[in-house]
Amino acid sequence: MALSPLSTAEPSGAVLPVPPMIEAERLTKVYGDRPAIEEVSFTVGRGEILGLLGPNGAGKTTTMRILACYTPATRGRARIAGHDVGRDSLRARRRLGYMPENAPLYDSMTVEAYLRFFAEIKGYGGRLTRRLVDRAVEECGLGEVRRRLIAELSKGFRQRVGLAQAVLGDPPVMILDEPTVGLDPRQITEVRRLIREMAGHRTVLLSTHLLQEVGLLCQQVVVMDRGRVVAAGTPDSLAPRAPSDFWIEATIEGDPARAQELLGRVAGVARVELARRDSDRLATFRLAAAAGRDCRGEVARAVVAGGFGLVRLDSAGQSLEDIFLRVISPPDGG
Amino acid sequence: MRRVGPIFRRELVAYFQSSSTYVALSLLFLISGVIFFRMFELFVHDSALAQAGGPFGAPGEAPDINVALIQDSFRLLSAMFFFTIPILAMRLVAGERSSGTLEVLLTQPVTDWEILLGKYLALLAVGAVIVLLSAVYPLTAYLYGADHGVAPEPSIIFGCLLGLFLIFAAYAAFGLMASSLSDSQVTAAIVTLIGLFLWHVISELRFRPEALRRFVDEFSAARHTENLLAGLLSVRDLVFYVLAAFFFLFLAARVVESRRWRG
Repeated sequence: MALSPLSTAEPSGAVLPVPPMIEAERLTKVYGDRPAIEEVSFTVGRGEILGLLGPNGAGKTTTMRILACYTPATRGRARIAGHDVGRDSLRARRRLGYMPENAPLYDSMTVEAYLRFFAEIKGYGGRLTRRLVDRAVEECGLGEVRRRLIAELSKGFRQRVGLAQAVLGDPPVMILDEPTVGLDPRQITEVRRLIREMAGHRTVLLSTHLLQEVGLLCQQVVVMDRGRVVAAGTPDSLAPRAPSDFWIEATIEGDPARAQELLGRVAGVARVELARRDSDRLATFRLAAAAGRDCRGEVARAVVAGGFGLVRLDSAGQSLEDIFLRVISPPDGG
Repeated sequence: MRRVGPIFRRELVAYFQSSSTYVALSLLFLISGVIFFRMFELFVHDSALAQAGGPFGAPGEAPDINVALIQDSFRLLSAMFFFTIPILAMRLVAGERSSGTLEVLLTQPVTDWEILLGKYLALLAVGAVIVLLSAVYPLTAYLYGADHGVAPEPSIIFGCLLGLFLIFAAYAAFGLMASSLSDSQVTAAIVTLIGLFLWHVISELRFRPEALRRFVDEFSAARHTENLLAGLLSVRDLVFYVLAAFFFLFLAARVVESRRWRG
């Protein structure tokens, strides 16, 4: 892609401390007396893509709205490219492209008129406006719908128009709230490719509740739950941080209650959960092995010795999904 | 302030693309047109009657065309604004809030003021169109009156046109403020209708003591409307409407800002 690099690029060879492009410092937002987010801190370095991950209602949107200068934080500080979002809001906004959830658009406008409007709002005029619109149209693959009314566009194209608005004027920082939500799989793939291409020299903060997306797009992850940051790091580094249990799945024939009791007594098994009852006399259990040790041998021997039928015995791999669920809601009920 | 331009242009285009604009204008001119026609008939009838002498032979008093056609038609139009303004103003902020586009707008490098001013000026432009269209009534009266030697005063006509625009401007600012209060356009419209009505009738309330009544009277839209539509353009009434417009614009900006806090 032929995008000019930012004018702020450091001279080659010089060792300069690279300031983070997005800084959230102990952000707290209280609605009424209910905190929506509490003490949320993270930074995103230049050129990084950071994913905010969490279930619905975790506070991702609130955090992004503060960073995008839409709503002020009750406490804490936030900076975009070094500009405080409160005191220096207009300067921060000038360095920012923001797409809210569901990409709200003016339905009665054409794609081109919509983008021209936002180019003008962002302070570009005359011939520059046309160039910027052309570039955003090209970058987001909107050529074929350029003169169409936004109301007539598919959800996938609408999302791309939202992205084009955010990328207008080549801002160094982009904040995208749930950019792939509600799209079909093909559209999701395309929007992800777009985001990856857009990233380049830009700093991107995006939110999602899809783990897979974080693995595919982001160098950094911040996991939020109930308004707090519960984990942060690279997608790979998150795995060791979670309790390193070794999970085993066992399908056993026999009275499920007695089987569960027996499994709990096996040496090396820390915890037993009934995963599902396949029938009256057939149940599948999930076992957490203490200290992450593979104790499938002991389990098999104990089951057979106890007079049960061992139908299936598997190690259940640690998917990012498992780790996520464990991080956001502690296994002991929470 | 450079960014007011694009917001103004977008809103103005949106006005002329929106069916609710045509509904509001059609209703305004349909109803006022029918009533004006009746007023006109009545005026012609009364004039003829006066010329022929009263029913008992005594010379009747001819109706004054300035009052019976010019001022009354403008009084009618200004009262119809109670319904026109809510329809036109409701979507300005509330509509954008409910569709989510306000969030996109408020995160652009523009101030809340620029956004509101752009929207307000677009509404004023529609108001200017309405005032120009409503010139058809005094024009009709003028053409008839010139034929019959009772032409209305041009100064009164121009005074009324300007007065009508000032009234529109003040009501429009109130409508914009009401629109920024709510997520719902219907709520915004109802608040505007009730607010404008109350603003108009506070002078009818018989406050005691007399000093309080006179004080309240100063803030009543009705009183200043009467003055303006009498074609007596006084600086006081002019200042009243301009200040009222600024006051409600200022309130609208405060409302938008405070609603940022509530996300």
